[in-house]
Amino acid sequence: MDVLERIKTQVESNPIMIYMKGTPQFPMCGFSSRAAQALRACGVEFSFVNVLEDPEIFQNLPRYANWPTFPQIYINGELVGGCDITLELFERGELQKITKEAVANTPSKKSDA
Amino acid sequence: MTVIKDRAQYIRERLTAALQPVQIDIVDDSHHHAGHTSARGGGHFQVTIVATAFAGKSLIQRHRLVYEALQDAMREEIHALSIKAYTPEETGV
Repeated sequence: MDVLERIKTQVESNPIMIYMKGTPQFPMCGFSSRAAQALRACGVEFSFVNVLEDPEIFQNLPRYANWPTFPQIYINGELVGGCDITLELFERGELQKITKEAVANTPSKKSDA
Repeated sequence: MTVIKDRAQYIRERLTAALQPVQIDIVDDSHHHAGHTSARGGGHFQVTIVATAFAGKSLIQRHRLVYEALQDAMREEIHALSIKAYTPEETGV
């Protein structure tokens, strides 16, 4: 599969996705670490791709959504932004809201009440 | 190829030309990341920019305006850029 198709499939099949350097447990970059921490603090399940372990995605993700840096956070297939925007949305209480909505509106991931 | 001696000054010039900010502050954090191998020589910078160009724009649109102004430099000269983008009304300038 073409790498841009692969990215498209990933962001569309995972309601909350972060492309980061390292993993949420072992981040390899301060910006990736802070963005992943904000997502964890929202208390929702999210997916991640360690771009350091996928050179093809590392090379091509910047042109997928025309965004030059890592991390990149996608909600419902749309780029939300990088570390600064994620933290600013978290401080405003908006990240908590949009992540919860994204998880709630995903039929396959919806938990039974 | 252009050799950029003072990257902070270069960022300031590019953003000033593109966005006519009423205020712009650039902090070069590169020395905090001297052992950071994945930076491949690129610098770390914090930019705080206040411009009327950001009025009515979302955070992602504001950051895109900054990245677009720096496009060629984002590839090699700048490894990481922390952006705070405000309108004059938001800061009370």
